[in-house]
Amino acid sequence: MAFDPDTELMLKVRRDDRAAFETLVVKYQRPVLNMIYRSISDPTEAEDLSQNVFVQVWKSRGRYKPSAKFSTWLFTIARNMCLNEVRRRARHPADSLDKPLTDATDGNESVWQVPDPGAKSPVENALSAELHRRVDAALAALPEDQRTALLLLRHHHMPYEEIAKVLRCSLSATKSIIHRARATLRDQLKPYLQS
Amino acid sequence: MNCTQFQAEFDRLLDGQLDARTSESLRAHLANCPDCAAAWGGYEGAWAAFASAPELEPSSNFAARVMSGIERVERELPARVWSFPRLARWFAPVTAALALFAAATGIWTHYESDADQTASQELVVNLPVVQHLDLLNDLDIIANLDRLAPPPEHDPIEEMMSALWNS
Repeated sequence: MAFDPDTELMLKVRRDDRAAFETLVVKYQRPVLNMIYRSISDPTEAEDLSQNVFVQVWKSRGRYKPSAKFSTWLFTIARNMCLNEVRRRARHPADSLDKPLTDATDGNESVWQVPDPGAKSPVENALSAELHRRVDAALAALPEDQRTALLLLRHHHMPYEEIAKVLRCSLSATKSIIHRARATLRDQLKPYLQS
Repeated sequence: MNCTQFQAEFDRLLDGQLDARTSESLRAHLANCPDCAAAWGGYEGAWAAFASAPELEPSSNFAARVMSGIERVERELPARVWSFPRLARWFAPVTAALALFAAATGIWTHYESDADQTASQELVVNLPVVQHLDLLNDLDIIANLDRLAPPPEHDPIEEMMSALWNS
């Protein structure tokens, strides 16, 4: 069986190789962070939780089996921790108030990757920002499994079979989830796309 | 390919999960069907808007903070050896082992006491006074003298003592 490079790295991690672990962290920090951020809508909390996901990966390294793709295993852990956080916030609603995005200049905060302002006119930028706000709202309104499926497709280009494993459902159910999510997104964004 | 079949393949077409021949066939249908072209436009446009939305960029020290997090975990690990979750994990098997041990000890003790009883019987049987009482044909009575209730009408011990006294 041919291992993918991540699996080989993870096998090194199982032998306490910290350099291999750091390589995996650097590679996956962004998709994990964005997947979590889209679920809890708080950049600071998303960063903390993402870091905890990787710490959990380290703690669970002995239980990793190379029969599973590393990314599937990682995103399953990330999803479970994210669901736990969402449940915790549901039990303690005071914690779920979205904090304003802080001005991140000290390197300790996550920052938005914004497009080059010189590439578009101010009007185009305003329309684009409005569309992105609508995308965020539409995504936040999706059921958790639909949102997770779309994020795995977008950030990691994960095959349907792997998404099915992360969502713990069949391949046909996964295809249905993806289709419904996209149809909802299309319906929600239709007025803004036409304009 | 009809419109229903075409629209059923929207997702796989968007995700590049179709073979070249099927993709080509779908594109050909798209070029000749205004309804499907409109449906595809909305579907593809929404996905493009989603895909172009800005991403959150991890902080520059993200990996460093994770690495210091695992350092902390490693340092705390020995102190947590006897933490409650670990004890809870061992509680069931240890309890089961203790129960088995107790059961085995009980059985052993039971047989051991039977062996003691047999030895006591042999000791009693060999006593001259007991032989004198002629009770050797009922070892159970000898072994369980203290448990017999009510006491026998003719207490052999008392009779023996009386006989000795009278003589």
